[in-house]
Amino acid sequence: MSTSRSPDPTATGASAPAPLAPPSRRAFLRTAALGTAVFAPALLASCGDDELGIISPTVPGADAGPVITLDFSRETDVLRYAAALEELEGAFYDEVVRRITSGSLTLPAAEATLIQEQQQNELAHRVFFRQALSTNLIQPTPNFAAAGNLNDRVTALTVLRNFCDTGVSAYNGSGRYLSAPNLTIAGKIVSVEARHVAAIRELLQPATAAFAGDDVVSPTTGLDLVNGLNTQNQSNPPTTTPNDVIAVAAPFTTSRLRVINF
Amino acid sequence: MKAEPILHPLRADDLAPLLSRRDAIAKGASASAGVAAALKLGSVPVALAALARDVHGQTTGPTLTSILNFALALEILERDFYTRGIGTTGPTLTATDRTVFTQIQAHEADHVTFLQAALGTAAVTAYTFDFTGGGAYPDVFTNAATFRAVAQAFEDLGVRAYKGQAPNLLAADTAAGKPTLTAALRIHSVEARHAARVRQLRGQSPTVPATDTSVPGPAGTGATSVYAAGAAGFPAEDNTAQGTATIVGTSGLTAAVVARAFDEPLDRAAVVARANLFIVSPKLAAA
Repeated sequence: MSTSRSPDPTATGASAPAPLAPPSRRAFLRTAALGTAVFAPALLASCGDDELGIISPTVPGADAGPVITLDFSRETDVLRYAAALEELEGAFYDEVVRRITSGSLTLPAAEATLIQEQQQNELAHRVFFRQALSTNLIQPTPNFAAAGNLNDRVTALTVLRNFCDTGVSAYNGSGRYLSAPNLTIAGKIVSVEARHVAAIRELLQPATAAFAGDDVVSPTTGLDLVNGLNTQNQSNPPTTTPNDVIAVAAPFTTSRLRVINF
Repeated sequence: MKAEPILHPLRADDLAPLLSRRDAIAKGASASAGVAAALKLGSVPVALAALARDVHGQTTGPTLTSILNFALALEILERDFYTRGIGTTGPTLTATDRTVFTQIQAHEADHVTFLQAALGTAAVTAYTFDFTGGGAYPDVFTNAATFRAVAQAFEDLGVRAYKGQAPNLLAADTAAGKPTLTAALRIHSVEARHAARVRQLRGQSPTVPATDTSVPGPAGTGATSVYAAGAAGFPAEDNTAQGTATIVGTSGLTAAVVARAFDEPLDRAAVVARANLFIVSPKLAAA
């Protein structure tokens, strides 16, 4: 049996080790059915609604499973997009914290505390979306192997940094599609994401300007990332899209998403 | 004496269908996305505001010019604060302090340039500041600890201010793709990065705890604290109620964690009440 994620809403967030190979579509459906009743229908429903066996050229991935299409003309799908990214990021936080707890990843005490605190904040974000979205929630299957050696401090912090920066960019790029109350909630969350990543960046490059470095904040406009990590293409208005965010996240999940009508 | 109906000028029968068809509306039927979304998140006041727009076909929020000038004022405040702070008449800073404040100052200067360009001739730029906060922080430029404390207050306040204006920008930015809203979001997240780092310079957590008394004086305590509640619907930073979700107690999450996990917006009037402590002229209007 193989399952990389237990979609149990009451779990503390620790996840089982990921399989070494991305699951086939049949295995994906099988493992989805092993989840709790609350979430399995969402995964199965997502499979049923979407294109089967078509590999989208905009969403790289070896898995030949179905692509989940998110239609940004529907506000629920914008929230599903944000929540999916939170779930994937959260899975990596859970995995890093699991390794800290087990001792396979060694961090100085203050750093371990910081990361564990962030993991809890991320879990709060995920719990919010789980309740707001219910059976519409997408929980991407994480591919931890893509991150390299997560027992290495720099590797682990770097992947968390990249997830957080990507998350900030995703919220910045998708706020425009939301109605006021959802925009407010998204703002409350992205604010904390940005705080998290500033702290991680300081861990990676202490006593520098990296907390808000030129690789994320444009030295000409002072604007933060939007729709991805590509600092070569951070114009205002942005030309990057939510699919650029998905492309950044794609190596770290065997689930495939794409956005339309953005 | 007969009380004024609180929903005036909405008539009672505008409201009744909303409430009786709540489930249908929550499912998205026959109402604007704004109303439906607000109901789903459990925000009746916001739903009623959206309904008012639906019924009367008009928005009643501030103009884009007004919102951007508000943001510009706060950016100029911060820019000038940091310019003085890292300059020859600022406090004695550690090398790490200086690195942080230099980067922050550069960003604030960029934000001023950006907002000025967006406003064109409508930009209001001539401000006189008193960074002692009317004498509350007399050693702000001679004592590095005081400078850092005021910096934390400004950054955490700015983050709340942008969040508070996001819905207004959403409504006021009618351009295709809402580029001004998007740009403001991209400034907001930079301010959050700043806030996190400045907090850490002071030995504080990068996220805001439920109760933060780390900033002395009016900006950090009491009614004018940057962490306090604002107008109705703008709770203090200890808030744990997000939409209709039950987060505290789910998956082992504590109130302390949930308070940190969400940063709270602050309405303009509340931000202005705090910012005006440091502005000699022209004072910012509450609305």
